[in-house]
Amino acid sequence: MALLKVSSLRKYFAVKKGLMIKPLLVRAVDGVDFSLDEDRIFALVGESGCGKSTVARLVLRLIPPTSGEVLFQGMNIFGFNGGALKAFRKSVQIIFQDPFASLNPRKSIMDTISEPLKIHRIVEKNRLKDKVVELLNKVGLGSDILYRYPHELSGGQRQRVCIARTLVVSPKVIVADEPLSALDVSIQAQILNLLQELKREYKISFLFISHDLRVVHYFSDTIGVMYLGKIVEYAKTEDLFGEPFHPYTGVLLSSAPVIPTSDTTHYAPRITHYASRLIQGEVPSPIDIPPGCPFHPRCPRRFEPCDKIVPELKEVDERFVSCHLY
Amino acid sequence: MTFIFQTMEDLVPLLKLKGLDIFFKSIRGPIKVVSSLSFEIEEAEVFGLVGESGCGKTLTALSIMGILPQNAFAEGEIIFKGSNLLSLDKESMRRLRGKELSMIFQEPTTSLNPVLTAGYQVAEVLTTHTGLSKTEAMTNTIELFRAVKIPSPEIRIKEYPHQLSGGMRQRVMIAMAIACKPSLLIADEPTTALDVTIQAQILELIQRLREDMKMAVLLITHDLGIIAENAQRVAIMYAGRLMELMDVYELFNNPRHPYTVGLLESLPKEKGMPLKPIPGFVPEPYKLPPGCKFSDRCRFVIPECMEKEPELIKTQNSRHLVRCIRAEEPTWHY
Repeated sequence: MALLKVSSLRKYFAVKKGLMIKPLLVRAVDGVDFSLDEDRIFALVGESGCGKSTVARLVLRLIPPTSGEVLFQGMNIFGFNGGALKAFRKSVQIIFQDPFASLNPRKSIMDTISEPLKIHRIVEKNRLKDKVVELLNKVGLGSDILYRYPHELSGGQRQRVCIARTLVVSPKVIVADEPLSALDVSIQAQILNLLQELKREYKISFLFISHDLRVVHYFSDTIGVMYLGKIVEYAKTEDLFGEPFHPYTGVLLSSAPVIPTSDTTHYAPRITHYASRLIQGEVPSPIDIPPGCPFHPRCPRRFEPCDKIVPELKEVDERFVSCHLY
Repeated sequence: MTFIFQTMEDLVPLLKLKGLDIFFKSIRGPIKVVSSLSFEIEEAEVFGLVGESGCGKTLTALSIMGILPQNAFAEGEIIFKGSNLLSLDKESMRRLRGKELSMIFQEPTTSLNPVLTAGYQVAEVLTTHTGLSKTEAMTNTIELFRAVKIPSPEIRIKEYPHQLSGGMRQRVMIAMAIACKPSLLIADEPTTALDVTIQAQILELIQRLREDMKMAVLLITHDLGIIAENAQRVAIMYAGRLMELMDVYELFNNPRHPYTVGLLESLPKEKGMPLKPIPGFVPEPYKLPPGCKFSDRCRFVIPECMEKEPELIKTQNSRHLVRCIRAEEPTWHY
């Protein structure tokens, strides 16, 4: 059984334009299905505004959905309350993008990390400090930062503190919403290594949200590509990077600049290649999603039915694609 | 549209930095954040400046533009077309800025004025520097918007920044920057705030304008992928120092400085293989180690490294400069 199962999840936000005007609907998440198995990493990729972070907030039950359900170990999380909700909060944790904004500036690291220990009564009061130090060591920090405040730490250290805070409650799932994008390249590698070690040690599953395709390729097992609130392609990482089926996935992969490796012997700057892989236009507003396939106005391979019929997510060669080409 | 590597030796550099130091004022005296920076940018080339946050790349750009913050000052020489920008008076600098030198920033939202229309802000550059009338400037602005591929420019010039998307705002910034056909465009992380598909569009636009107008571009970024595809020469900065300066081919095929090697190795490659990050983190500018500034994080450190800061020296390839005493040893290969 899947640890986390998301089915036809929808979230619409109403935007008021004026007092007497009917509010417009932003279809942020518009029918998303995926499942996350134990000890696996599922990545959601897509451009800004495609609804990745809204999915994360729904999965954590931080906001109620418009429709659809999220099953955690077979139970709908939106039905939880009281003790069951508290237990769910212990099992699913989040790491945010910006470690500068996600730590309370007026709390020392000790206060920040010990708070969940107190709330969930995980250890005795007199063992609090030992436990916090143990967690800090796990994420590669020393006890010297125990009584320091977030502003005294570097970005990488802060992100490590955030990770330590999620580990406090021994979660089964960690939702990582762009955990690397505020960090420098050399620090990104440190954090990515840390996440992999933790996964190996504790068998934590990850819902990994990112726009960095290099990182996603390296880190994830399966990928869902989102565009305007929908998953347009859902496949094993290797398959997706081997041969993208959906035209949008193709565009996304070819837009990312390529770093030559030492075995690319015939490397030369490939500026001229830009023209061939450029995609026209920008992502339309989620208030005004185009009819038919939401990607058709920008699609290089559109044909007859694309602007009329909305494609369904259908299975093709052990993967799911929503495109009329298949 | 072919791409030619020109022989740089017979060109006079457009911009020459000679021993540029940048300081921040503090109660305990000035803190040096950029130290004896020297490099040259040739006409019509794309020169990449790479480094992590806080290494001084943006400060370098700001000092070329003469817009350092109040609490910072620069010493040394910045020679642009024969004159030292640091010794120019405010008025002559103002006449150069926006005309000969221009800059686009990382965050197009905060660098546009929210209460003026996009068209007005671009036209202002033209009326200030070329003496065009307001109507002429507006007509030229429509042309500029067309050049940076903004759809329906006649309507867009009347819109305010908040009505435009991030990609469109960056196009307006570019239109403003190229309005007077500058010889040097400084692009400070121009695509960091944008999505990949828009990033590709903006970089293509910058490249095309550079070719059409023969302008040089100083491209500041932390993304080695962008460097690989856009720059001809690259400077790697760490802790305010130039650590390595080379052609982009050499960067990926023959990196000689341990920091450059570390940056390349930090990138995810084969699945399942643990990454090799650079240990530790960038020290504060007032707590730098003695000797080589990278010695406290370097895998290849030897006692000599801590004694004296190495000079930026030429390798066998005269166009490849490295600040490392072990640069010529064959032992460590990337």
